[in-house]
Amino acid sequence: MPVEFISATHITPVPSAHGHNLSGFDPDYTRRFARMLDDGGFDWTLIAYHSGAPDSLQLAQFVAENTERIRPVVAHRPGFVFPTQFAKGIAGLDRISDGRVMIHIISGGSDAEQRREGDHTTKEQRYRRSEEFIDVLRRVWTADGPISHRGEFYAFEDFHTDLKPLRGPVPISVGGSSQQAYDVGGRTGDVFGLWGEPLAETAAQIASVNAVADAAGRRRPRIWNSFRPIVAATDELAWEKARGVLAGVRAAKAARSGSTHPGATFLGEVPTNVGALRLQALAERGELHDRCLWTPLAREFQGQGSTTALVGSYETVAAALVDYAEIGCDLLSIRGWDVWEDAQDYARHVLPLVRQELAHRAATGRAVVANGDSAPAATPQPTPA
Amino acid sequence: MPVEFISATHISDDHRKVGTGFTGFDPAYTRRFVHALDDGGFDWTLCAYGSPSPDSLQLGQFVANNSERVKPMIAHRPGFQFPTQVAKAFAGLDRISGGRVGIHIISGGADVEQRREGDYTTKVQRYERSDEFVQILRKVWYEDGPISFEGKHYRFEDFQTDIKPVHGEIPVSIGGSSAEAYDVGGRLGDIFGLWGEPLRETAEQIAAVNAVADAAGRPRPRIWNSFRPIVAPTDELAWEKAHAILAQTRAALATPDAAALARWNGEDPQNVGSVRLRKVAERGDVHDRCLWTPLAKELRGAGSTTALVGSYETVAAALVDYTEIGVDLLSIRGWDVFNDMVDYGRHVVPLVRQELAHREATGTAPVLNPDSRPALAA
Repeated sequence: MPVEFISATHITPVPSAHGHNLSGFDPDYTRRFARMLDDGGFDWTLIAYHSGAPDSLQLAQFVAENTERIRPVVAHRPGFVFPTQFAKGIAGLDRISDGRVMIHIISGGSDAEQRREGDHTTKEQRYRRSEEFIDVLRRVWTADGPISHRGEFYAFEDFHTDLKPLRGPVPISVGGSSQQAYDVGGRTGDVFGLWGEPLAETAAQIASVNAVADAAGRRRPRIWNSFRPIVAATDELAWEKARGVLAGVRAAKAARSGSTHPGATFLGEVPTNVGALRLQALAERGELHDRCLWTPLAREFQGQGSTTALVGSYETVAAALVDYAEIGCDLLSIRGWDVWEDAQDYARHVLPLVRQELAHRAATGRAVVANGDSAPAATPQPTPA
Repeated sequence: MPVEFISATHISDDHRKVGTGFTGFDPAYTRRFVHALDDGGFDWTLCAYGSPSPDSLQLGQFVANNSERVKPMIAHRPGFQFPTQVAKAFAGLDRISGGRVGIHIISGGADVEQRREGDYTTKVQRYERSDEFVQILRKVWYEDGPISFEGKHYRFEDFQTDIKPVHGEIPVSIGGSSAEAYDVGGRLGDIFGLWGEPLRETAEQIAAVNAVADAAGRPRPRIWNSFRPIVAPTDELAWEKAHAILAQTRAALATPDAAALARWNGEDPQNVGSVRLRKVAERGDVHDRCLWTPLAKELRGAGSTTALVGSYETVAAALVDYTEIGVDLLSIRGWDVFNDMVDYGRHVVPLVRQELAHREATGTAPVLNPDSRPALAA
């Protein structure tokens, strides 16, 4: 399968919405944003999940109904909807959207966030619940007759529906950076999601997930890796822009300091999930990694979410993305900081370069265009075709 | 507020096929059906809820995305999704649809159906839960700061969202015919839903709900009443059609698939609404002007199954009878659903609206209902 591009669906033109509890959901803006991604040639768009955000299934249908081609990745946190209901919600949406849906299961990294919607479980319980949830989804989608289930978290009797996804079970992505996440993802994921770390660390994470999949006798998940690139016409201009973004983030943070605004409260929380701790540690080790992976923004956000940047000219960033494709990343998620303009720039300047380079390699077996210095030796575990 | 018309969203051309777990969801058919409802001038369309059915909120948005005017009334059974999530989904859809959404809370009448999606509560617990659920919806929709809740069924801390209804309000409808339903509906409903019974029984039910609302010091809920009319150009043709539908229904019920479905549905449904419809059917086939119950008897009172039979004028007059005793929302859904819905939109809805407009303008009631009995008004 070719490398595919993901961007996130933004729902408000107000940049300060980043990371806070309030969403500023603006349907007209969202419609335009989704159409712009569709026109720009992105393959997928992430519909994020958060207690304060719009319901991701509702937002996903809204995106699908307002686009022709782009496929919504519906983030979902098990624990708040019974799995039979969610299975039906996804199956119906898949039929409505002509088979365009993928699910991204997040288990929940923050206890405080879980309690906002009444979930008082521990993280270990949440991962076990996610696995059971995924099992139920797939049974509902494939069963011909009534099904019953008795597990640690869910029990039901004689559930039966003819409402199935259009072309068999919809793909399920699992994300995370803890061993539990690798376990659940390796055992159940069609796709596994990572945040942007350096090549060596990323390859090690991919190997961990693949080892679990191999041990389970399953097909290895496709790998989805997330970055927040900062691009410009030249490397120099891109670095200037990067320093501008960092200054802007610091100024906004200073302005929030002492504020009782709920956004400020949320950003003040200390993240405890492994993915965030890994990004923090990475930022401590240095600002710049590999070709152009830049970490100071991750430090400002305490590693909360995908916050590492790739900085450089269109060619440099395209080459960096190809580096990740070489170590087995199949889905490249790129979301910007000035999200609308950045998505347009990626679509016009970065996506075509990456696609051209990969097509060239597929056709000639050589790597010359964007990555003259590419290091395929870094590939520890080539993923199966 | 003027009388409004409700229909139900049908999702399959194959809807008369029966069988356990059958929905036949066909997005292309559903889209055409919704266009016809919108063009026919219906105000609302019910998006039903059942364990095999499409997620009603997904269907609700699909209706809104494919129509200009008709408002999805989305049925929801508490117990399967956390209320903060449902509140956000409704508020988001309300914004997407330009403020066209309503929620119809059903608490769940059959234990066997609840267990299909893992709910092992009793009916009394379910009504208590619906009560908490509606309180939480309104807190999420109408309160600004972070909210916490500590109830018997739900508990959460510091939830906050800015996704609020676009015009400031989403109507909450509650249905049922038991004392628990009147109680929850009277205390919390903006709308209260009933199945079609004779005028006297309907007036009694309305009075019971109103008494609860009065005691709680709340505005009385608007009343939504559901019928399955059988109409034709003349009374005679309509009765012919009614007997044909009854014969078809009996034939369909004699098939093995239908027998399996009846077992799946728990044979004779024990919820009070269904028991009441069976009682009305035992007392006689025709009530009042043209309320006809043999189909309710055949279908064991499972859902809205009483018909109004007659010419467009007769059925319009019967619907006006119900508005006279305090019914504000008239739900009419047919048997050959697409064709019946088009007929209602062309022939029945305009007559009722004309009659009610005439009365409002002139203060008299002579056109369709010279024999009307406004004294029955509760």
